[in-house]
Amino acid sequence: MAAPLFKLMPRLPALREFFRLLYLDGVRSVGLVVLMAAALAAGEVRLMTDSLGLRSAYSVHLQWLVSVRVLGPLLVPVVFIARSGAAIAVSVGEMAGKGEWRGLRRQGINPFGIYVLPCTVAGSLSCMLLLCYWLATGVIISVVSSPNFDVLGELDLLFSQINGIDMVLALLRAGLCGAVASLITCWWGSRAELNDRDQGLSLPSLVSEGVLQALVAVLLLDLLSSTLIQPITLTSL
Amino acid sequence: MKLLPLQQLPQGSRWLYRGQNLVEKESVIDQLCAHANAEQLSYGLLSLKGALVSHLSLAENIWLPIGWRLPRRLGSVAHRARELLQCLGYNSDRASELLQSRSRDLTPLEAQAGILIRALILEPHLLIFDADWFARAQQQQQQPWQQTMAQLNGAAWIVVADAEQPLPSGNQWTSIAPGALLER
Repeated sequence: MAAPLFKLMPRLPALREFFRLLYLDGVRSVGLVVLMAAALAAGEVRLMTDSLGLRSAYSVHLQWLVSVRVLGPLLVPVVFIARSGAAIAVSVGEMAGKGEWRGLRRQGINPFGIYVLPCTVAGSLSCMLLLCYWLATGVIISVVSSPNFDVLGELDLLFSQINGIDMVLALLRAGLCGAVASLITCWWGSRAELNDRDQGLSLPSLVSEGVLQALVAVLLLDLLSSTLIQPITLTSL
Repeated sequence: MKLLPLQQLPQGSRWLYRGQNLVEKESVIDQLCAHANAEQLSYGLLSLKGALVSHLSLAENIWLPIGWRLPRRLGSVAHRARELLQCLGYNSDRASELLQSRSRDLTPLEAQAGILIRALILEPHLLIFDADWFARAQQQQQQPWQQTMAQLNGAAWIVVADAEQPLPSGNQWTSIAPGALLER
């Protein structure tokens, strides 16, 4: 699968764009994701132990399941869209609006290979990376914030119950949502080129429309994927 | 709809096309470029709007149409570009600085020089000019510019203008009637 991708974007500017976006979206967003994951994990564990009276180790495991099956693959793409969606749409919109996409096409260069493909692959990988931060933070915070602070015991129990399928499915869902969100925001940004020929939409409205549609698409995709994979995850319990 | 057979344009010939408005002019440039691409013709495009990708350096912009098709290294293209910039009157340090600058940071004249150099490195059989670029280039009376432009004399030139733009004058120019460019 990687070979056709690299055949499409083996060129230096495309690769540089890919690494730049991967750094911006997947590395620099770490603080926000860690903060959200920590707050949610602490809240969930407190709720489960204090209000529902669950055992501490069971709470940690339950928090892991909630993160890996529900919240992580859903909220990570939402954070990605909130932080990077507008930036992607604006940069594509500026390029398209200034006629740079048209200029590239005139030179026989496909703008898709220069910007959209690197952006999509970077968006997908960024969401997978952010999900890893999310899950790791969730585990650490839930163990630390549980009332019976038995780190080794709780981690041992957790890791004995972690299902690899859950992890792979969560990564795939997050990656797919990241790719779709990137594509949608790129597409809305690229409509600034049509705007040049009096379509009547300004770049700010295109950007907000792109971000909104990316959010809706991610929510629908999450609903669809969780419905489709539910039988797999339930049988793996 | 079939375009004029660009490969059959005589070398050194000069052609003018005047569109009725800006939209037609842009559309004709699009079609000429698409046709030249389809014929795998070596061609250079000299236009101002959207000619350089703003977030790439000038060296990358010059390299892009070459490196996209051929296994040419950025370093070798940048080396040739530096030599040509020096021909245009920039000293070695300034030429290196310009090649490393993002194209959005260039002055219009520097961007125009970069576009000219890109066309020179492509060694084209055909040059497609936007009349805006052409008019500005004609205003450059300095000898280095004229000498560098002369290196492109062997190619067939097509200047595309809209109704309000001035056209180059002289006997060597042949006007293309709007209907004649497109063979139906």
